[in-house]
Amino acid sequence: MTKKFEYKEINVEKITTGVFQVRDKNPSKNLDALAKGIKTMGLLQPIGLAKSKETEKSDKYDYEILWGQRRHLAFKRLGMTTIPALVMEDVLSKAQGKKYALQENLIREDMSRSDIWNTIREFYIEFDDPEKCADEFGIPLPLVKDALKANLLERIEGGKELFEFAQSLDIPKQTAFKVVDISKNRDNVSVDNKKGQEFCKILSTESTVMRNKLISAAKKTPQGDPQGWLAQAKAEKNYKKRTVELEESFDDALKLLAGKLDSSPEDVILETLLELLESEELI
Amino acid sequence: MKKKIEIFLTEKEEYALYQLAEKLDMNINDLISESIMTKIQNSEQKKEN
Repeated sequence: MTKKFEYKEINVEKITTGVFQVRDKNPSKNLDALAKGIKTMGLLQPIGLAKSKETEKSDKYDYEILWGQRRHLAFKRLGMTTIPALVMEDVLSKAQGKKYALQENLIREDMSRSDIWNTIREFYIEFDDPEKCADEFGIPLPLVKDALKANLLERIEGGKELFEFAQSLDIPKQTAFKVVDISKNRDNVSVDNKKGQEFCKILSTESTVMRNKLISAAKKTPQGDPQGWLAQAKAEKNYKKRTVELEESFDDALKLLAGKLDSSPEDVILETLLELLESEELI
Repeated sequence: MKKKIEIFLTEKEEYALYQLAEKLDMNINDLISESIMTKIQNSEQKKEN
């Protein structure tokens, strides 16, 4: 049975952090910027809380943080006494808590993407830095990245045309988005159509593995050119094969999802893992 | 019966995956399954909404 969260205002001093955290690397980094954003805009996304074995034993704390460790720290720094939170009254094990914390990094649908984009638009165009946007406005970084991706075609001049060109060459939707992103000009609001189309033509003749290598090479040197990325991708030899084992029913669901995304099951797995690793700042 | 799917990761990505699995105290295959399952569930939830 799915556990339920309830929206509440919780005393910041009754909240502790530790056992459920999946993002514990330097939570105080750029905290002033986040606090400033919260002061200006308010908290746009409640933090997530649940009880743990540790809080059950504690007289001082009532809840553990599932997500929103930095927002909690920012609230304390601002001297605020309560914080908006989605609260689960169940006692979670360490593994259960970490699963929710991990899931929060993957859920991208809980805020309107266009609302987020409208909020961060001017700031993003000026700085071209998703992390700065996240801190400035107090929005979780994965949601900012997702909003940027979702609004890519509308916000980049020539983006839609390049995306359609990629699709006309049977390049999967997910890869076509990446081509648009990679082909952005330095002004950050338009694409280099010639470069983008050349890249599409190369991608359309390559295998899935080689396409991933090409995208990876292009991301490393976005100022480079498609022929240079092709040379880099060909030189890349240190790819490791990993076999993923999935339950049969699960495999069927994955195939359905891949079909919906106009992608392959292998690419959906790879894409999901890379998003996760990026959100954890491990790559 | 389990289905096998092959993916290709760079050494850097493979190492990052190992680090995350260590951090979450999970094995890598479970971590991958869990992530994909979440993605599928989110996609289905979005469809329902």
